[in-house]
Amino acid sequence: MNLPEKMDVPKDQLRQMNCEFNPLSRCDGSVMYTQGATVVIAAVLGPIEVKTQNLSIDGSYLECNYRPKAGLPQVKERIREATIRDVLELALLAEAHPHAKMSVQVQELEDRGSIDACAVNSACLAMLIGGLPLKFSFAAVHCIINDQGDYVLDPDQSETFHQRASFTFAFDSVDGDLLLVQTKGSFKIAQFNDIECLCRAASAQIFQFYRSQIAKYHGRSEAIAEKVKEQPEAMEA
Amino acid sequence: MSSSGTIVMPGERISAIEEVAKSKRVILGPGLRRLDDTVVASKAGPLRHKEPNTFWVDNYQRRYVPARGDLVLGIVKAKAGDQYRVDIGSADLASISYLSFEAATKKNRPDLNPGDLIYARVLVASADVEPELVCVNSNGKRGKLGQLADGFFFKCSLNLGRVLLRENCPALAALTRRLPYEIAVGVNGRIWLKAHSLRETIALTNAILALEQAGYAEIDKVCDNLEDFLQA
Amino acid sequence: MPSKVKPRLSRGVLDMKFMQRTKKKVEKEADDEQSRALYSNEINEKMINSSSNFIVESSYSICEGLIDGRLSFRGMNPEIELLMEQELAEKRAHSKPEQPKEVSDKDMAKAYYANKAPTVTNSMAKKFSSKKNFKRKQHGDDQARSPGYHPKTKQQFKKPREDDD
Repeated sequence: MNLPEKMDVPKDQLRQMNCEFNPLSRCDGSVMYTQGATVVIAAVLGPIEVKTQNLSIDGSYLECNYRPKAGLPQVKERIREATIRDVLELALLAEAHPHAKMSVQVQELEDRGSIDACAVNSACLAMLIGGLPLKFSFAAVHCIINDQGDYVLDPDQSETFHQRASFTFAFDSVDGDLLLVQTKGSFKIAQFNDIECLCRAASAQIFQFYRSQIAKYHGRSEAIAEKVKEQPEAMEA
Repeated sequence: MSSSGTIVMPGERISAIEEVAKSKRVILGPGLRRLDDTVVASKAGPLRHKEPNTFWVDNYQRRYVPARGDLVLGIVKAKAGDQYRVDIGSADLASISYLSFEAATKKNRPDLNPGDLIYARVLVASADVEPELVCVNSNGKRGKLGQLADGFFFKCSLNLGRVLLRENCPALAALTRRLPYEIAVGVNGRIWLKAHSLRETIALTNAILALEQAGYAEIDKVCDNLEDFLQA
Repeated sequence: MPSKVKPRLSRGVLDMKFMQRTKKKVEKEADDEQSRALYSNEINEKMINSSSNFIVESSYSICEGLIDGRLSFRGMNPEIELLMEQELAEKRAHSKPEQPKEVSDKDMAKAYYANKAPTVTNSMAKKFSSKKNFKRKQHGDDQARSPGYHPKTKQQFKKPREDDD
């Protein structure tokens, strides 16, 4: 795989993002999402039938599964799963489909840093393409403080071995509210604020990416609409 | 049919619609919701507008969400008391009373068995209750609805189903230049097709499914290639 | 305070046979009040008074104006094709502008009465006129109503006007 290494990317930039919509045929929406060399596939199903034990008359039940690259999910994966679920729950317009289940599956293909952020972003793209009703879209950004005390946005795995602290933030697209904060390591509150600002700025770039990808995917249907408009004129001619 | 085509994202406020709503009534289609006096998108995709006052968000959803008035293809799954349970691709199975068929009475039940295919209209669709279908119109006539016998059944994306059913869509007309056929397209992304021979049916199926990838521009090409499908 | 309390009919009165309709009305009022009280903390003024310009329509087929998906071509299913043709004809009839009338409504009415069509008023009036003044009334009334009327002249077919092309 010739994926761009982090080394080529400045420390205050996100690695290159890429995505392919609906690589899977049997689910309602799926996406393969890469950020640098980190690759995940996310798939959504919904609204689908729900088991009686999970049934809620107020809103849909949200199920989230995270699968590691190999083996069964362990505690680490379960924590990640819960994180994704928490963010999705905030964004999902649950009251639109009561008595139903929304199921989100995230499959890790390659973890080369920022896997938490990638998993959240891929889940968001899958929800967008699956047409599930959302209150807003969301984007997660990962950032670390390395051993020299520099901030490294969206680091590659190779850069994370001597980190002092790591941060993952998720923001919503409407008000820019924080949806998720994950921190590890030692840092000063001023550094925390700096990094939050840095990540917020980067999230705008991710939202732009979402929009351009959706536009690109709909490009084909755009052509169809144009054609429909032309059609009656062609018939008259 | 007109398309403004601007991409909207969930949560985005659409002030253009609010402007229109100040002077006249506005119909909000799928993908749009109202929050007090503001209009907000809930799905991602191009915003569409049809004169005079209808707005909706187009998208590539694959899961069918029942809506009142839709014409759908369903597979009978079971008989349950005085109802049939029908799979229409939505979250819940839909139900159809055996009295919702033409000339059906308590004595004279329609002869439907699990596995049969019906073309029906969605009568009740609410998030809180299971959808209900009918196979008759308001006059008690069956019209175009009812059981589909023989033929071939396949699934496609919801989007393709809608594309085929747009007014002046050239696809179906182009196909019939080559072959006579009979078709039922459900907006739930299911298609039933009947032609004179198995070979013709397969050719038509392939041609329709090719549209999924091709889009309108290539429709003529797909129809030209139909003979290749026939020979294959 | 006493002026605010609505007078209520006693049970004994309501149970009487001729009070059944009033009883139903009173019961419905009590029911409505109860349900209002039940939801009063959830329904606010805005929900009651707001008039909205938005109609929510969740069906793509209605929004996009999709056609019926049951089609047949080149004689595969004559029954469906007949229905399709009928629909097409109906649509054409709707979309075509109304044909201009050759004779205006006014002219039609004029010609109709000039040709002395039997009208309801006439025939009813006849019923009430006594035999004695039957003849006189017929002459006098009709002459007064339509000035161009002459009982002696024979009715003739009137040519339609030809000058309006």
